Amino acid sequence: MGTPQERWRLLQGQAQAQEPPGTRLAGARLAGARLLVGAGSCGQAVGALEVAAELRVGLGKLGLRVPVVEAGCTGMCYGAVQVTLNGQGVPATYSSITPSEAAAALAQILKKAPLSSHEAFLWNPDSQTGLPGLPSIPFLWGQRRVVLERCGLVDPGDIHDALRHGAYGALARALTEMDPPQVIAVVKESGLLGRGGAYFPAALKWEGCRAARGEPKYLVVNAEEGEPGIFKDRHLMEGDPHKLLEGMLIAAYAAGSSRGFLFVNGEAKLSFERLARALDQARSLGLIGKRILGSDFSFEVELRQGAGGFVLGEETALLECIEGRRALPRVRPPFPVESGLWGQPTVINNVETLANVPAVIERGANWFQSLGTEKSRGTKLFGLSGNVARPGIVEVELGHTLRDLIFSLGGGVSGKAGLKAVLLGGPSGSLVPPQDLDLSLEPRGKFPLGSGGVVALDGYRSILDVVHTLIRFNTGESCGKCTPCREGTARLSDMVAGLEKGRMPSTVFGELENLSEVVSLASLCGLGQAAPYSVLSALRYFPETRGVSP
Amino acid sequence: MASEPQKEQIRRALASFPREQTYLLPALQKVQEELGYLPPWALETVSEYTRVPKSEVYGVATHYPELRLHCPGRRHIRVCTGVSCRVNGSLDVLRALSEVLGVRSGETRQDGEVTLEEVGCCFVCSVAPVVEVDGVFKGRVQSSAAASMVNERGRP
Ligand SMILES: Cc1cc2nc3c(=O)[nH]c(=O)nc-3n(C[C@H](O)[C@H](O)[C@H](O)COP(=O)(O)O)c2cc1C
Ligand code: SF4
Ligand code: FES
Repeated sequence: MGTPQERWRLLQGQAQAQEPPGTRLAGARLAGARLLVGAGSCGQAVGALEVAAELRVGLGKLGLRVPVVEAGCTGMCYGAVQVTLNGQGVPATYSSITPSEAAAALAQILKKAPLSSHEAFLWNPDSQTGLPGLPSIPFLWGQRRVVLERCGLVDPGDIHDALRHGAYGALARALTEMDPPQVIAVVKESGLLGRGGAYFPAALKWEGCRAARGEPKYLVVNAEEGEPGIFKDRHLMEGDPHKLLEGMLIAAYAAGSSRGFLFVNGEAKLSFERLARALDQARSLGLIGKRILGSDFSFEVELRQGAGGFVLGEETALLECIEGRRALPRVRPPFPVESGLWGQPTVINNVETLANVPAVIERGANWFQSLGTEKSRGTKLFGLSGNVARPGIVEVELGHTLRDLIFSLGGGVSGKAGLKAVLLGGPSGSLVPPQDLDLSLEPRGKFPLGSGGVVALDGYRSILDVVHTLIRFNTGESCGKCTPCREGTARLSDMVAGLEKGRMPSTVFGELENLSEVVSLASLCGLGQAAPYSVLSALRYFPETRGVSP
Repeated sequence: MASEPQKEQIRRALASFPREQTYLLPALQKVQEELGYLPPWALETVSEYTRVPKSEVYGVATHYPELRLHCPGRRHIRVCTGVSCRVNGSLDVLRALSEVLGVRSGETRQDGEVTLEEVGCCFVCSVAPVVEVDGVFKGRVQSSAAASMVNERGRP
């Protein structure tokens, strides 16, 4: 029956032959055309499904059978709802379409003609048919899209579309040309670090698991994403679920794992639905299950849903949850690669980490090393929100600066008050002062990246209100297993509240710093360890928090 | 107390799960999907089915924020007061909704019609401020439009 690669080519050929249904009926001029509506969670929150419905009605009236697809988003949330014409050469995207305008906009969209007072562009550097090219969109032009390459441009509900765009090619290649140690070697050389917040080398986990004794070995995909202010994993799963599945399969092959859990945040309903559908389709094509693509590699995966709580995303709490208990972090060592689920060797990886893997295999370690900086290779997803003119999800090479993200890509601060601070890394993160906007964004820099939340705060905002929100969040989310975190975060929260109300004596600053240090050092898991960062950075870099006028 | 048909409904819903502890959370989620919350008798049924001690089932059911032990209001409105939303005016939205609905944040109205809550993030921060109405996210909500937003979906 041929090698995995030959089988994959066969699948791809079949997908090609199944060009989107109905399009041939649209008339010669529009053969192959499809309209993709950016209907991720963000898009749906501002009317994407209504836009899709209006487009269908409008097409009906014109007698055109052009399919309208509820796709993922491009990440340009500021321009939601977006409509993209695909399958007609270079895709063309139109921003800020409301339900009431949708049908009337069709005539222009189908011609790829400009639409007055709407941002519109083509997905290549050139300008044609009156539409400008990518360089006119700083939000996209400033990015380096690797894991996001297909987001917003494919139908996440159709594996054939993913296959036409090359999905599972890297898996086929790994199964045909590489044994697991070779996969580990390539990923190790590439320098790929985990993207869930701890930035541990991905290949070392796989190698550790492979070497550990015990069967079965497990792979857990951490799609719990519960850090307020970041929504990148959802974006990826909603826009291109097959990217994650392919990365997961390659990682499982490398780590010698035969069973997996895909653990999705309980409130990420759209991610869950799209992954469930993608899994079914992948299974039916022999890409998941026994003897994948005819090789010796078999992998079964079960989709699970979380039930809330920030700490659930902590890897050992996640394992407890899968085993059917409360989400309380475990004491380490032993580390999960040696003793994880039910005491068996277990790899836990973040969604974005795994989504990087196909490109590393496809294009090689050298290519990956050419991205990012000397110490930190590759790209990183960031979520831009808060008081920024163009909020959304971006992918840039590591080593960019906050100034780039907020001013070049993000279009600067919304409103007139200027930038006061940036919250980097969510509730475990820090408040970055304007004088540090030019620091290189990489793991283990002056400010931890967390999983990539970037929230701009303008001059009207109270730093203490923000810090209080964060520490209160951490207090509420503390699982209570260890005292420094359980009692310490509550006490920190009270003290910050006192500061906010102007009721604290000046001696409190020393006390806050001491307590912060104790909580950081003595807590069992990352929640407690990182909870004081926001407090400390605020006291250190924002004199107003100490009652000193700036 | 539960009626016999209700119990039967739950037993049937559970039958798709293997009787192992790893399916405790999926089982509780399934029951909540069926009943809207987890009454004591349902916890007992889950305990019998999964063979996990009642005390542990109760521990798990009270641990996870998304599991509810009490019957919620008929309508469920949550306002995001995470950082990205509050710097875009979500506290004003919360106040407006609280006024219109006649219920304080964190409470269910006396008539049981509506529950109003704050939430730490809805993970669509880029379209802040965000309100979740019966599980559906609404982005870029203006406090002035908060009232009509509720009305549009049938004012409780
Ligand atoms: C409180 C807390 C919450 C976390 N939440 C997540 C999460 O939602 N998603 C995630 O991938 N990692 C999360 N992590 C990090 C995980 O423990 C773990 O490091 C990560 O999943 C490993 O994947 P990676 O090596 O691919 O980054 C969290 C850690 C802590 C301490
Ligand atoms: S640090 Fe906090 S969240 Fe982590 S185990 Fe201790 S109490 Fe629980
Ligand atoms: S802070 Fe409101 S959706 Fe994230």
